[in-house]
Amino acid sequence: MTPPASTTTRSEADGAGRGDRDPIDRVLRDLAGWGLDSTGPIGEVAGETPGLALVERAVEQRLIGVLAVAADAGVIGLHPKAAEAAHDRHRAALLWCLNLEARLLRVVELLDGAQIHPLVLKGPALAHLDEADPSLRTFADIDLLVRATDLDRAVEVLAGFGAGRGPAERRPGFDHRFAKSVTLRFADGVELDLHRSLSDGVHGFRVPLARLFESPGRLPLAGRTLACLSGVHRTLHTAYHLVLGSPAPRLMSLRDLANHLIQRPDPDEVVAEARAWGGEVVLATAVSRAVESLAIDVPRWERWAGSVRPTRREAAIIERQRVEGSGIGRGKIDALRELRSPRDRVAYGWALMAPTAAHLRSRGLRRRDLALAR
Amino acid sequence: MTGRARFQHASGWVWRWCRGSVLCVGPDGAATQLDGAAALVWAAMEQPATPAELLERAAERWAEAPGASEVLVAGAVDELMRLDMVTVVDAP
Repeated sequence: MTPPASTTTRSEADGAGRGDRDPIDRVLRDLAGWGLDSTGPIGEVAGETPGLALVERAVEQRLIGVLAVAADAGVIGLHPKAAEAAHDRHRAALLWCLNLEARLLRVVELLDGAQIHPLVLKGPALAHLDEADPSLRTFADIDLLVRATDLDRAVEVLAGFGAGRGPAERRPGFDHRFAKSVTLRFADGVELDLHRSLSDGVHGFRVPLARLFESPGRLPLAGRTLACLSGVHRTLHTAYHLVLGSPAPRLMSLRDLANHLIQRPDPDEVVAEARAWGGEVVLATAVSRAVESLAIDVPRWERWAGSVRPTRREAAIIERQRVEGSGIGRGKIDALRELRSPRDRVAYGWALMAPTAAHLRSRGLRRRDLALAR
Repeated sequence: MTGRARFQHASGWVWRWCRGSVLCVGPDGAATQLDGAAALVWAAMEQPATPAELLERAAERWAEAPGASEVLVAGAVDELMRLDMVTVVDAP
């Protein structure tokens, strides 16, 4: 990246540095919180090269909508070529989102026809229900939660509609018993994650999935109403995604959670649900991260998060899950221990150790590769 | 266009604001961009509305908009109907 020597930001001016050495990082963080509890000026990114670098980073962090809207509102000054690039990239991202939403409508219609009633997760639900304007929140794929008992059939129904799956199932029965999700791809590049649960590993096994379907939210879209996670469940899911979804979560994920915390200043209902999910520490970790990173003003949430004392074991489980994601490592032993039934433990352990040849082939691996990895 | 007819988005159209214009994708996956009065009227049509209500909503939300006049609203509705993006409900 070009040294952003000519970049000046509000953060530099008011000394509100939060550990970012790169001024573009600071602008991105300000953008991540912009429009939530503050609509103040962000500053100016002078010069074409730093401006274009900011645009690229905003795309990576899924903040291109916020950048384009903030630039239009005049709260961030950009070189004209950078402003043009921001709007071009935003327009392209929005057209992709619309393409995904059109596909989502068709997919839900097909699943409904097969008596499979999914819940919409993440992007479209957060954009329409939680952001002030859905144009601010872009997304790249579709995520649907289906009941575990419907997962295999849902894959079949969508295969008939041209959706091919990524890696083959790890072992027969693994998807509907243990997988977080099955990824399907259409010929035009649209990716659809069919979820069985909301997270990999220990915390994915702890989520009481039936509760999510008992009290769904409603997502009006194109004259129809789709089922999605309820508000409380969306708050928790954004927290899970922030802490457990990736070793390096995007700033968009911080914004998603910060937005929920600001809109829901009383933690009680969400905390009660987090207890039912065995996820209080995940939620507290996520809240602390959002508050520290984006400097949002949510005193009741801060007090609650500060009162949570994780055990060493729980903290270690979360850290392993955060780093490993869906990969194979110590976190999968944690997950195996989380399973109550000895039969499930054996099946899960066997699937981890001895995936089928078809699964390995679909991932470009050989059995010998696994042995070497161990 | 009668004064009592109510207009709303045809089913299956998804859309976003983008820099003062509206980007739409229809049930067939084709994208359309609406500008000016058509964009204002489209956004005002999220809930069923008579021409008078469309005018009121457009004027209320975008006071500075040049398109908020009866003639332009009527023209925008005609354009949207020609594009099969609108249905009429509760027509007298």
